[in-house]
Amino acid sequence: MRFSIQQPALLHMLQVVSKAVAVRTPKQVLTGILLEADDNTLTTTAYDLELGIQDTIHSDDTNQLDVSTPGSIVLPARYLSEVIRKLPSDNVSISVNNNYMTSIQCGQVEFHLHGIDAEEFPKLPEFQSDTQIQLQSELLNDFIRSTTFAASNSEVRPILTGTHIQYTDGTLNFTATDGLRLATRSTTFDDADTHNWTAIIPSKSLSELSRLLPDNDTVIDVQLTDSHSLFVIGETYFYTRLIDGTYPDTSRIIPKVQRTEIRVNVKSIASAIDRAALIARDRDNHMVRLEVQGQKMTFSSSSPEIGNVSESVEASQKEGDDFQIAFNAKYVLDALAVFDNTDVLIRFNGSNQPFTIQQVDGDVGLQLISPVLMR
Amino acid sequence: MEERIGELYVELGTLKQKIQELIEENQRLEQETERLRAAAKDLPLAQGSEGLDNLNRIYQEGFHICNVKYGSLRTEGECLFCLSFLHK
Repeated sequence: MRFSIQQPALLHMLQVVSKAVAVRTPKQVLTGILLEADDNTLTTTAYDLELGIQDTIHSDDTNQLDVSTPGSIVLPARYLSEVIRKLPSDNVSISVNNNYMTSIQCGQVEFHLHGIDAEEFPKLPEFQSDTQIQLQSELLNDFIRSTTFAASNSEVRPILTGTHIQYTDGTLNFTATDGLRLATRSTTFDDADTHNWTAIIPSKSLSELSRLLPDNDTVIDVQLTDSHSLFVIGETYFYTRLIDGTYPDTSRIIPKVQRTEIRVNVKSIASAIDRAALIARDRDNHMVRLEVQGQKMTFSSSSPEIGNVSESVEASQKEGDDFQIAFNAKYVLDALAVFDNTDVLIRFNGSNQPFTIQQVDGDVGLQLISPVLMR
Repeated sequence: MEERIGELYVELGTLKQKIQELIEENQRLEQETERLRAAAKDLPLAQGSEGLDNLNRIYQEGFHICNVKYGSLRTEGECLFCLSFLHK
């Protein structure tokens, strides 16, 4: 294999795929990036068997890709990325010699890296399914950002580390929960003709996907099989394994009625809770208390060793009973971060019941948070 | 004629006794069903609330009682699944 390319173009390709490089694995080949040069295209691939990213470029005036001998090689990702990053912004030529020894040349610099036979690199899953939908990049990104954070980080119950994605009669829904809070968001498509499907995608993979999604209306092709999903972003292919199993029924846990409904500005309560959380300790689940009396919401928190804090915020509207509740400040701040600087409706059902947060105008989903019981 | 009246009188006597026996038995059976019905009504109720009380107690002691995480230790706050189950 022998090709040359401009350094910025190659560096960009390596950065795109680098998130899928395996970190801890006994299989050395998974810690590498597969480079494949063919006619006038160059493809980079990384695959840790859960997440796979493949990026392809065709030669043009900017990248000045020139493949003189087609071929492929796997190079250790750690060194390859660092080497390319530290090269000057100039033409880089890469060629594979005997025993997979690869030389990387740029101006007066010459590196030699030990490569691995490309045959050893695992094949990416194949997609020949008819389950596919098209989504706007911006929308998909918004969905990921407003739900996946609520998924569990603990591998004890793998199913809760995923985001449950359902497509039912033209309605797309993302739901994530770790049992203490839940985030869900739906949208409806008018031209719904695809059949219904459901998938549980690892939330970590979706966060990585979100990094690659452009903030515009580029159309992303989403394809699914029983075991994997594929997101096509232009020339970048993003593969992820699905999580096996049945997602718990979350429709039951979302309250349908409320005893108190409060309308308030997101920014004002977010900053109040953020301040109150300074005194709340990790050990007590970042517990912040809220007392509602008439239109007045008082956020407070105290800790015997540190001190205490109290702040009042005037709600713009309130219906229902006065009450007191305590909650994990971190969860509420995560949930509030989903909403733009607008008014939200918070619906409570007394001090020992979960509460929901929704935006007043425009549907950006629902956030459900369980209280911390005051004993 | 006198003999016939005597026979009828005896028959009436036994009929009266039979009726009394039947009435008594009916009453006894009625009481019995009443008692069983009451017992039957109390039974599932007592069991149901006891079961829920047990789950509530287990939850308060710090274990999950929901189908998602059943039996595992509750380390961080209230569980949405458990709460929805307890307040159903």
